[in-house]
Formats: sequence, structure tokens, C-alpha cells
Amino acid sequence: MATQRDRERFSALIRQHAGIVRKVATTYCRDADDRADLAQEILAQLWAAWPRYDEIRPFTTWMYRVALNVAISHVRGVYRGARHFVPLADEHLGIAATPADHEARDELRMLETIIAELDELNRALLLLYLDDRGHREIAEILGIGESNVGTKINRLKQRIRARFASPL
Amino acid sequence: MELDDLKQTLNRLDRRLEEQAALDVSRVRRAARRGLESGLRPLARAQLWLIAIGALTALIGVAAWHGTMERPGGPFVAGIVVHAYGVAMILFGAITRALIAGIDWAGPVLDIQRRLARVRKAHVVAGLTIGMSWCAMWIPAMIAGFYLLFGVDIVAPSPSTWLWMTAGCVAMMAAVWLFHGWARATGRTAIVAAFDRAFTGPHLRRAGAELADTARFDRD
Repeated sequence: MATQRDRERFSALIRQHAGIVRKVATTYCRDADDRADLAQEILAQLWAAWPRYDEIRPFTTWMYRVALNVAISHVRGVYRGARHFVPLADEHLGIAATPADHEARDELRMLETIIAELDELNRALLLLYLDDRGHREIAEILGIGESNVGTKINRLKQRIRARFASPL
Repeated sequence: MELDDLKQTLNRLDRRLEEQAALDVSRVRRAARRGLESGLRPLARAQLWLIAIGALTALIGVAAWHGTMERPGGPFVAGIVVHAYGVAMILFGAITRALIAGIDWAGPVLDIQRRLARVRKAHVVAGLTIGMSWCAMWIPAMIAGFYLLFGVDIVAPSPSTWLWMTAGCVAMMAAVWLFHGWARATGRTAIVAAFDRAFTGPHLRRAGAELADTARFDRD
């Protein structure tokens, strides 16, 4: 049974790293309702896994593992129907502060296009890289070798360069 | 266009979403109950049902063969078959539950996704095996049922009829299985796909594809 102190500590850590839940939910769900569902599901599994969290390990690594596992299972529809990734929700395009902010809008469109074209595991790799996680942490989260992370990121970079060499 | 250029885009998107909807951590316990319901718990509960029904089936089988031990006949053999079927159901349920119990969401992503795909595959294969075997299982089940409910040995008047009927059902299932194996071995993908559509639906194919995706990501 979690104590009040446990709950407070958990809540404080989640608030501090809430960006991880948001970014994972955004990477795997475009629809706002679906995204909110996924965020709640991630929080639920984080809370369920919390008693087994080993404090000597980095909290962000642990949080990313749970969040990505839940998100990939959510998209794959492990125990429900498979969900389809719908790129470019209009609300996301609202990121551009003004209609004239074409550059931000174009970059967002590119990010959405890249995410939509990747499978679930490469999407996780992309997110971790864009969120500035080091190779060692990415390797620990995904469960692959550190050198393998470098190889995969280089491949991802080449793929994106080739993809956007010609205009969208 | 470089990948690194998109780091700022992701952060801008996150800031925007943060403004739109703050993450409600205070509702986490309610979410935990709902989230776990929609996660692996229903599947784990389904395995408990499978084990319970398997135990009941095994008991029916035992009652049928135990009651005819002195004069072994049709109900005796049927009882043993029903007993074995019940044990198989218990085993399938226990194996799938053990696979589910081995899943820790905080494990490395590749490992957990591989385990989840295996759970799904085991669940689908168990369902198929238990379901498909009813093509022949209805015969011993009926023999054991008549014996236990009415004390009647329906095999006794014409044992050979029941024997041939059972052999026919088993042969039909074996022929389908062999034909499927032959089509797979000789690369007749259209036939294999038609079989998969008819018998396994999309679930087994999807579980297999997920396992293959995970293996490819790990290997490449």
C-alpha cells in the first residue's frame, strides 16, 4: 500500500517530468481525446510500477521505459483494435504563433510526416533523440547496444535527409 | 533539412500542448484503476476462466472414466479424452498467465514488446487449438455427457459407427493441416493467406508481424 509520502513523491516527480508523458503521447497519438487517454494510461502504469522503482536508477529512464511500452502497446492495440496514426491534426498546426510563421509550420509538418512514416520502435528512437537523451540512456530505455543506437540514429538522419531533399 | 533542426520543433509543440492541457496528476489513482482494466488485466482474467472451465471439463472426464473402470468401453475412452482436453485447457491458461506475470512495464522496450507479442500469440494459438479441436471433441464430450446424465452408453449398440465417425473427423482435421503445411512449404502464398484469413483472422498475423518488427529493429 502506497503511503501519503510515496504518493506525494510520485506526484512531484511526475510533475517535474510531465514533458515525457506529453511528448510520448504526442508522438503516438494525434487525436486530442486519444492523446488524453494515452496520457492517463501511461500515468496509471507509472503508478502501478512505482512500488518496484529502484531509486538508484535514473527516474527519467524508468519513466521513458514505462511510457514507451504503454504507448507502443496502445498503438498496436494489444488488447483492443489497432489504432491508426493520423498525421497533421489541425490543432497542432496552431503551434505557429501567427499565420505568417511559415517556418515553424513547415517544420511541424515535417516532424509529423517523419513520425507518421516510422514504425513504432523507430518512432521511439526518434523521440528519444529529439528529446536530447544520450546514447547510453537511449540504449538502456530501448534495450539495445550503445553502438547500435549510433548506427540507427545515423540511418535515421540519412533517411530524413533523403526524404526532404525534394520539397514536400 | 537535418534531424537536429526538429529538436526545437518538438519542444515548441510540447510547450504549446502544455498550455492547452496540463497533465492531471491528481487523478492518477482513478486513472490507475481504469488503465489497468484496459491493459493486461482482462486477458489475465480470461485465463482464469479458461483454467476454471478446464478444471470442470477435466472433472467431467474423470467422472466418466472412473465410473466405467470395471467395464471399460466407449464412455471410458471418451472420459479419458475429455479429461486430457480439460488438462490442456488448464495448461494453456496457466502458460499464458505465466507469460503475463513476466511482463514488467518498466523493462527495456524491445524486451517488453517481444513479450507482449508472445503473450498475444500464445493467447491466439490457445484459442485456435481449443476451438478447432471441437471439430472432433464433440464426439467424446457427447458420449461422456450421455453416460453421466442418463447412465447410457451410446457407443455400445454400434461401436464401429462411433469409431469411424471419430476417425473421419480427425482425418478431416489432419487433411486440412497437411494441406496448409504443403501450401506453406511449396510457397503457395495465396492458399496460405486464405487459410489464415479463414482460421486465424488478423490477430495471429499481427502478433507475428510485431515479433518480426521487434526482431528486425534489434538486428538491423
